[in-house]
Amino acid sequence: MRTAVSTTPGAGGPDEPVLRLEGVHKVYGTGETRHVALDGVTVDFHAARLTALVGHSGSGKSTLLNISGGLEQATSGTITLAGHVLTKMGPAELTRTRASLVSYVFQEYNLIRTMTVLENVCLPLELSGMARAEARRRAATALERTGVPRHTRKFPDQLSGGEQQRVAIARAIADQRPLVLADEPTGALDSANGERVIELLREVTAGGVACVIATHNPEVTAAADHIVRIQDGRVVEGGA
Amino acid sequence: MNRNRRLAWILGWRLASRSRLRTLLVCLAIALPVAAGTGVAAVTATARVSMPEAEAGVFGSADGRLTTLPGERSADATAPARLAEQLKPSLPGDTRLAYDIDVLGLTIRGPEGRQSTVDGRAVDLADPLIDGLYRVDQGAPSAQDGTIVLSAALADAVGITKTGQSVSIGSGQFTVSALVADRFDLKHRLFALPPGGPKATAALTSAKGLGSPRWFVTWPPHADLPTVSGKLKSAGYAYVPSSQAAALSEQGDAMDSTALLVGLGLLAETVLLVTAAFAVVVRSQRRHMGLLAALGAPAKVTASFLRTHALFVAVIGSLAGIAVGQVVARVAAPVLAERAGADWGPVDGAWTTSLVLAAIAVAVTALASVLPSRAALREDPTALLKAVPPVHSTRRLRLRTAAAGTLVAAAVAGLGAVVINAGALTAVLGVIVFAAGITATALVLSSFATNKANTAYLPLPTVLRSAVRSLLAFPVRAITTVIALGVVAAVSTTVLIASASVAHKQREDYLPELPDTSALIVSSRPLTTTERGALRSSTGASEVSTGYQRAAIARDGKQLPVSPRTDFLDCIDDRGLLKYGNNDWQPCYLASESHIPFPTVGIADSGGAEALAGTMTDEQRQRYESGQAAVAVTPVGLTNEVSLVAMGRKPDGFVLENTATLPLIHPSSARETEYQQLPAVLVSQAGARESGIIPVGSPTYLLNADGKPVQQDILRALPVDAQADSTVAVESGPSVVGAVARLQPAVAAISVLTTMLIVAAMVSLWTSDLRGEYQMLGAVGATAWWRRRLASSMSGLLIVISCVAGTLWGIAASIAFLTGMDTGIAVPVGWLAITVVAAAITAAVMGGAVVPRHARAQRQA
Repeated sequence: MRTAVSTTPGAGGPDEPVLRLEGVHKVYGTGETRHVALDGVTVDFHAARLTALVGHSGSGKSTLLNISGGLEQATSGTITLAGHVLTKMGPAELTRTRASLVSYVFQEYNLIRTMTVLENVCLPLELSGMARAEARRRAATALERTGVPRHTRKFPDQLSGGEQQRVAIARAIADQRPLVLADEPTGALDSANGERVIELLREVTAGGVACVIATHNPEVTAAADHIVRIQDGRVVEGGA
Repeated sequence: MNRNRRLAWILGWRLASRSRLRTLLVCLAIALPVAAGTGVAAVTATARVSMPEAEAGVFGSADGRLTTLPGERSADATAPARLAEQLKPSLPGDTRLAYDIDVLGLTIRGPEGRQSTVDGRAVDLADPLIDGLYRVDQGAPSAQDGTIVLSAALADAVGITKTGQSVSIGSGQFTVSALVADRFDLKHRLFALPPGGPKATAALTSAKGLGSPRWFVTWPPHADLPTVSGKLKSAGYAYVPSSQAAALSEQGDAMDSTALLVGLGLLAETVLLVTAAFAVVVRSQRRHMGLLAALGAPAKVTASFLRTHALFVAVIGSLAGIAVGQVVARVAAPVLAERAGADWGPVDGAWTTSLVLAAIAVAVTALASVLPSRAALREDPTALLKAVPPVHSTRRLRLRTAAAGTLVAAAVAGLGAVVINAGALTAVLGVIVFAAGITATALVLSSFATNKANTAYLPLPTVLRSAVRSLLAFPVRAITTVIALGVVAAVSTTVLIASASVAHKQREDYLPELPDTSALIVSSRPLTTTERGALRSSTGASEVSTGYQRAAIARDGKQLPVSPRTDFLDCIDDRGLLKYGNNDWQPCYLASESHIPFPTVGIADSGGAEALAGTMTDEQRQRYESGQAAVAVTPVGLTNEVSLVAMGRKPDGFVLENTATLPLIHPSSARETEYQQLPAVLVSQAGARESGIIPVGSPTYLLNADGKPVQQDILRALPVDAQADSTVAVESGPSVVGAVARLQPAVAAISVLTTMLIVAAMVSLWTSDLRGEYQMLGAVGATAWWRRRLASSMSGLLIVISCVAGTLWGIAASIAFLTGMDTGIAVPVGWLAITVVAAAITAAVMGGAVVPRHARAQRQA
């Protein structure tokens, strides 16, 4: 039985961040193989704000995104998402939280190859408990917004890279979850498609969503409302 | 259907329908063992006469049977009630009796005048004691006088289509109360007449012959059987308990053990193949599993989608396997039956076994999907999204090695136990031997190879070194594949060795009719010396013997053939009964060294004797001609003295009469092989006269040539007036060699083809699992040709390791099994080599063929 998770952005009030990380550490391995990926990160992400997470490869951007979305557990520290403390949750509860609060956009699209475009977009909606008809209606709307309305019956393999990424964004925005995490969303795209994706993410953010993008792309950085710079697992700019 | 289940169904079905090649290959991996199991079960069920059936065919539902000792027909044969009264004092109270009498040559006429003279029984099939003697197809047997039961074949012959119609025997009319079939569906023409009534008694008087009554007997509880048996013996009766059908039971057990071995082997193969296949499937779905987790799908949705997918392919594969197996059985069973010289009747589909096998395949497949998916779901979604399996620790490798040691110990223990024990236990342990052996070998190799991989340099060509490194990078994947392919090799080896060994045994057991370079001429009249000379010159023969005839003695107006007493005749006791149950000669035949059941004695002059038996010395020739000695033609089962026995067959046994005991001459150039058509012993005319033996039958000549004689040429070379009624026999090759011997090449070829198919399926799965890696290798500059060589090398390495391990363990298991079954071992080296080479070529070709042509820098989701 799935229990409902409150989806109110910043449950403490309008100025409260959707996502707050306080003193978060993430350590991989032990002994000689010990590697500190995040070292006391404290940062807030607010609704209706596009945040660019920048830094060199290996600086900890992807780890920060994974931990923020509950895909990985932090070694220490506190992560609060829409009033819910992720660091106190078990795997099943984290899964439920993701289903209602978090959307992902990946660099490699990560669409399910065996499902049609429409089914891919419907998937998170249905997982969050929405009726099938309503899910299909919302998915169709999201696909229209992202500019791929005619490809609903196609499979991901039949689309170009740019189209696949737009489907992935449609999947992320269809449910209007308060937090969208994007890991290098333009990394595999040409500049035209990259610009289109940035526009889409800006539109999504304007709708009141907190959007966090890990990126190397200066155009994404330029379009961002807020920039958080990470170096060796520490926030060196834009932290709380 | 709830939302999660619907999602799981969509994902499971789509995975099956979108990855058609992989689905086909996994289905193949499931279908092949199911098809093989179904085929074997159906053919076995069709060929097999079960012990209960065999017992029922002889003993009905009785505890045993009583037979009169002398084996002669009693004057009271048609008045069994009187005999029953005589018997009762020898029996405990409450003993239940029923009887039957063999009826020979009774003419039955149908309503349209069609008639058939057939053998049958005077027996009351309505008596519950006899229940099971025949299978009732229509109607119900009646105990009333004036009724009769016919077999379907006889009914057909006389124009009876249903029960209630009448047939006539002599002047009496009999109503057909039931149509029956013998237990083995051999379509015999037979009848059963309830005896005792005036109509039946009148009908039996018109039969050509009647046997003595034989009694079906069921003892009261706590009957003292040894005492009863002694009493019966003194009263002139022998008791044959139903348990004496031991020979049949042994044959049934052997067949059961073989079927069990094949079944368990296929089960092991199914388990390992499906496990290996699903390890690949689940690995290929790691990214999807991670993605579902990232999107918020509960673990049960992810597990459920893989389980649903497994059920799809398992059901499709199993159904396809059953269908193919049934078709194969329907095609193969009649061919095998014909080759075996038997009538197996309609094909038994063995549907229960087929469905059980399919259910096991489905359950195994579901389990094979659950275990790896559960293991994967314990990982972080981010690890799954990377699509790279985790690297196992050295601790796990140590555990694996310890497990391997345990399995090796179990295998060796199993091997030892197999050698000691036989029967069903043999089959079970045989399977344990190769399943454990394969697993242990794979694990040991894996641990060894993993350690070896840590060395800085492998002295191999670049492609091969890269292939070894790639294999060792994912030891678990390599192990599962080696296990699966090793089991295929082991099963294939076992099938090849078992079929070759049985074929070898059957060839050894085969008794040729005649020497290859000889012909036997049974002439309608004696041939003169000139005619024999002409025959020799026109056929190019080196020798034509003087004529010889069969020996017999005259008794009661009959001619009883004379045979030497061999160890086969030792099977006949003093009462004229065979020592094994119910006068069944087959166990005697199997038990005797001299395989000819009734080898004859011939009467020949010394020239004829030397042509048949070999050159004698002057002293031997003189003793032979004077009748002081006989000469041995057959080398088997005879010593330096021979008893000549006149032998008559009666409905209930044999009559044996010793005529003479003579020293036996074994010529120095005697034959080394026994031939069915040649007499076993020859006596001279003088010897025959002294022993009261007379020559009977047509004069027979043995023609010896340098090469294989041509039947038609010899017939044409006979005098014109003798051609029409003479016969010429030449050795025409094995006529009743078992099906396995004849079909062994076909069995071996099918085994090779099946192995190639499974190898192709597994290697394709393996290579398709690595598509991303091959594409990325292309991106870093590896040419398509280099990548194909790499894939071929990897597949080749895998198959070679698997074949070596599998073949060795298959040989071990076969030796253990065949030793337990007391069968000699023949290793078909050629077929084994063909299998290994075919498997290696298939693996190399398929490995290279499935490599993607295009390079790609990124791994696709």
